[in-house]
Amino acid sequence: MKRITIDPITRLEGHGKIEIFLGDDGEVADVFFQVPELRGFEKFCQGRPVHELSRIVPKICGVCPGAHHLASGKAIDAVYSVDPPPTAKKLRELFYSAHFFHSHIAHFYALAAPDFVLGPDSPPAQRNILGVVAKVGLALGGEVIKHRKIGQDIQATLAGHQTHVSWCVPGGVSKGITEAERQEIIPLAKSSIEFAKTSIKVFNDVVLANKGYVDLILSEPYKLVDHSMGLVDAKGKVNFYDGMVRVVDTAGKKIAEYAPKDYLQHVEERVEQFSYLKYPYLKAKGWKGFVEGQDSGVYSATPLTRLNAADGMATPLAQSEYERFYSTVGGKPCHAILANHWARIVELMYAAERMLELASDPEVAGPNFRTIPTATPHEGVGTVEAPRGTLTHHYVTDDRGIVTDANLIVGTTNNNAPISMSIKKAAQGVIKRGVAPTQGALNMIEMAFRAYDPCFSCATHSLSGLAGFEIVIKEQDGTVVHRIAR
Amino acid sequence: MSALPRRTLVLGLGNPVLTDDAVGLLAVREAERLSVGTPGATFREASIAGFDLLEMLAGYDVAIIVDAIHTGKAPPGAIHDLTPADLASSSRLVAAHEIGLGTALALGERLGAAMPKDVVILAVEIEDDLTLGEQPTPMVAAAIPAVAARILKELAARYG
Repeated sequence: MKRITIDPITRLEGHGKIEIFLGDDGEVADVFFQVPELRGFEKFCQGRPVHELSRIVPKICGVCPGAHHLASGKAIDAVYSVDPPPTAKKLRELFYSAHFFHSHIAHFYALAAPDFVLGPDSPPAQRNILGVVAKVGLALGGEVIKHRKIGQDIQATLAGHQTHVSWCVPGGVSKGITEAERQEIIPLAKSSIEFAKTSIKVFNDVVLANKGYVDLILSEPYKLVDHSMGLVDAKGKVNFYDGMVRVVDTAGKKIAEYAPKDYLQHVEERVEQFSYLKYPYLKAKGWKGFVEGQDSGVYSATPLTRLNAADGMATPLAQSEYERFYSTVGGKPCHAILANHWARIVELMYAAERMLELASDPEVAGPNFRTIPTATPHEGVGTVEAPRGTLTHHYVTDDRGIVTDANLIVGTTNNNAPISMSIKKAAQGVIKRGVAPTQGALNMIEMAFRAYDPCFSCATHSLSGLAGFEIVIKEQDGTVVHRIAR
Repeated sequence: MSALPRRTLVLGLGNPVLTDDAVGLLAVREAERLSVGTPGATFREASIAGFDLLEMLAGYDVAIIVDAIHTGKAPPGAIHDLTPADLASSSRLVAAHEIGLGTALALGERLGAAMPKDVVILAVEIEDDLTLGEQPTPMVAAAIPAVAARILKELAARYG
């Protein structure tokens, strides 16, 4: 058996590694991806006052601190059985819309666009945001930087700091905004909508105008037929901050809709001997292995599945793009994983429009941004949609509010099984018997991985050594027969 | 020395709750404590990467960046001297959702921002950055004064 290792997966969060095992016939036999997982979250939390956790958890992840802060804040509200007042909820959702806005900008322009603007098999040295700027124009580069910063600046205006937030408190937030600050956010949100329009145009010009790319997105190796998960609001529309968790099956039929606190009744985690990763699956379907289809328990939680699970988008321009999306990809639900990039653009527009809606509401500058909790703390679950999937924090405390138990399911964990399966399908599509894989072929495998915007280990910041990107193909006895390094 | 004092950013990168990952933060904090005051030098700690790094570095002439590294090929606490070019093959300085240091510097230049031309990267070998914890492992903790001294030496070389 030959072995191909892709390590680390470039342009992705955390230290990922893909191993491709070739069978004796030279075809792809199996694929595993590995990532280091954080240890000791539960132990680290135990013995601390629960209200400290919302200040600590943003630090465990440099990529989606805002998502952890809010999921934690909501879990702490639940621990104290306190319902934040409308102003607090709106402020939190405004903060979170700004977070989604800049996170999706970063993913689309730095991670997704290079594959399409430069081409999947272009030289790695050019296949990055610099290549995108060189090709699409400096003006767009400036707009990308400017609007990513707008998202962060809005977060900083609301929460005092863009990343190290200590803003959510049990029952609300620690500070509100002034009427003047609210007025300052409005033009920024308007500009964000214009930028989202530009992004739709970029997607049209670069991807949709190229039939080859549309065919690639809809091709079999990049298809994964599984169930779709996402948060929906009271009208069944996509919501990032709050709502019910809805699951639709492979045909788009609703098979579950539950309050986040009931997640353990619906989702179970599978432990496999070959990996320390856990593989969540739908309890009602049961674990049938790494298989696609209606009877499998495998589900995904991604931008694409949020669109699949919901009845639509709550804002007009995003809704219009949502409709165009499904009419182009051949109807709903969509199982083309590369369509996640377009789904992110739909969500980018929604985030921008939602920012404007919320900033235009005078209540966000209201004085009543916290309800002081009075109940004895006990147990609580908080769920938000992280940019990369449904994120759940779950805490149990004693009656003084000291943490006795803590659990979290991060966005990417939901997708562990689908990611493995998608990489395998892509590898089977591009690795041919007896042909040494090219850089382009290996990038096509990474594209399957990148579609999920995975964020592993939530997240270590250290350098991963200087290996860069290396693929080694080995004989069973360890003899290196082929090596590609960047 | 040029007529105008050069603006230098001493930047510690890392995660304060991931055991050794905090070494860059701790070393810069120690260097600042020992520093007798270097006009033009700013000490900062951050848990950021990518675009944020671009924005943070813009406007400085010199950047001294201290981060953790895990090569497994040196004892914990050892300092690796790196340059942005060393990181060119890797797409990130740190585990980035977006862009690495080299790309951030190049992109900033392309977009007309004044990015530092003199970039020193001190990468400190670590043992454990996966366990949640606020204390570095003993060998890494013991190396912090040496890393801080090295930061001050780099500053002294530029400010005399």
